[in-house]
Amino acid sequence: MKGFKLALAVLAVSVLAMGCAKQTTKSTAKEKLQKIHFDFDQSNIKAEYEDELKGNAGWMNKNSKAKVTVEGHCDERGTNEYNIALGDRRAKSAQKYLNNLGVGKDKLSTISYGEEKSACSGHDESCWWQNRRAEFLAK
Amino acid sequence: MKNKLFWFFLVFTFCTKNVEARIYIPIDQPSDKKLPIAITELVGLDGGAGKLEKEIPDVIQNDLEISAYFQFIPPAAFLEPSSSTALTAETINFDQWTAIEAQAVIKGGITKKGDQITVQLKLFDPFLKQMLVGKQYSGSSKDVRSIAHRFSDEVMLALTGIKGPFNSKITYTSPAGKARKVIRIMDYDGANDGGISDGKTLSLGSKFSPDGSRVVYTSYASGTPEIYMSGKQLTRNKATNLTPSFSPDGGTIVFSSSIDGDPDIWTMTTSGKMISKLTNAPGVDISPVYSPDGGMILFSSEMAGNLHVYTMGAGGGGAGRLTYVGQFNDTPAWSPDGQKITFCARDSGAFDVFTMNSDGSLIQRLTAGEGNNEHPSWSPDSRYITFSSTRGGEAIYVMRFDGANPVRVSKGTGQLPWWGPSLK
Repeated sequence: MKGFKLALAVLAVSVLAMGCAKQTTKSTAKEKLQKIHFDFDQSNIKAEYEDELKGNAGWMNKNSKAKVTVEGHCDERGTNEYNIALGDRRAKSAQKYLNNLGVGKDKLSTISYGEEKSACSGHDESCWWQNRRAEFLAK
Repeated sequence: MKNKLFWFFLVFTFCTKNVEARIYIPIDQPSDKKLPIAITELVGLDGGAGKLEKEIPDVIQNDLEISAYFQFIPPAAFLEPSSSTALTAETINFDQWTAIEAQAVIKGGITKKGDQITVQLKLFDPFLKQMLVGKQYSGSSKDVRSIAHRFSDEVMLALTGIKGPFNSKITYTSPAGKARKVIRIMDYDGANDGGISDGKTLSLGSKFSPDGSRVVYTSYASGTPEIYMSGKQLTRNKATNLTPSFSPDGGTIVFSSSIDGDPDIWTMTTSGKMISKLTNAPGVDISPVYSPDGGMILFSSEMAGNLHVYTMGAGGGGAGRLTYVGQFNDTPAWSPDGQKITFCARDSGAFDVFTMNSDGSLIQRLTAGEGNNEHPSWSPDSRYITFSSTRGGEAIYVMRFDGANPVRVSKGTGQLPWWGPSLK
């Protein structure tokens, strides 16, 4: 009986551990795929985000089955529709950068939300820089 | 719905004396001198029409207030007793109107039988002792506002020489939760407001077809931003498709698409068949609209670095630059009479509305120091501009071409307005 209880406890712990392990894999994609930021009204990749993009490319090359959507976002300055066009250019320049690092073209798609999905809702640079971003979402 | 589409008003025009056409309000020279006008409650004929006797003149007065050309004589100053049923030049005691210096008087009568109404509306010049406009409209009680707007249009025609824009609609975009926006259509004065797109997705940037029966816009309903026409998906290219607008004949849609990599100007048919790519410069090309004659396309472009306003031939080529000042000039719109272009520009941090001649000369600022003022477009008579403003919450406004009298018209939050045609 004692042995059975112990076995049950071990089983319970391992089930929990499996649950954790599963979650860890998921959060790995989220943690490993780093977002990058842009200068105002610009879509070129800044040198300071080289490490993030190399990390993203490394993760994608390791997880070769993963498909990633690059989301382009903007701060609230600029007209709504222009910002969607600008976000399109941001997503595409990040996509191109990853392609150049060896990520297959079929692994990456892009979408822009312009200023429509802000990460931060304030009206000054402390928020704006956070909103000028490309995010990498594994499917 | 079909009934509504094919419904038309019975309009009867009373004979007016063939007086020499006289312009009471010269509109080509901005002036602060407003025409004093008196608007009376309607006379209830055959038992009366209850609150409609006041509602119709109220809608007319609101139209004429928005026009910014009138000064309203308060009913408390009227010398004519409110019990007066005089509705003809022969029976009205015009001395009672000239004594209070009313240069124009609007009077009328209404009968209501069940849901059917018959409305007589008349405009008089008390100094000439003549009727300038006389109309009789028949319809149902839901047509009340439209009847009032039609008459306001006629008053503007009689007094300024150009028909008013009041029987028209504005389409706009309204936030509906995080990353969700709905396309809405309302009367130009904010009445009869309703959503036309799915509230569970992000849709934005609607524009009317030339006859006002359809709208084109961008929606993320299928995942990516695609062009839709009144609920029907036209593009399926999974690129970024934005700022669609109709050609003046209603047969072609011009829009911005990144299908080729960069956001460029493209045309397609109203069934979504791509016609051609009109621009090829690096950077964003966006916000295309046709000239009123269909011969040219007005758009904004980063071809020279910063976003500026350009024109080109309707088939592409022959691009000419219109703006040189500022860093961000977008959403240009050509006035229906072809004379002017309005656009918004970011200047010292905020957006404001500007106009210029259609050749780019004589840039004038219409808004200043009151939040962001964006996405201007013209009324059907080219005398008013609708735009969004963040003064007191983001909403839709209407103002005169010279920036006079900005008035909030949307009750709720709104952005990206587009003024439709005068309705038949």
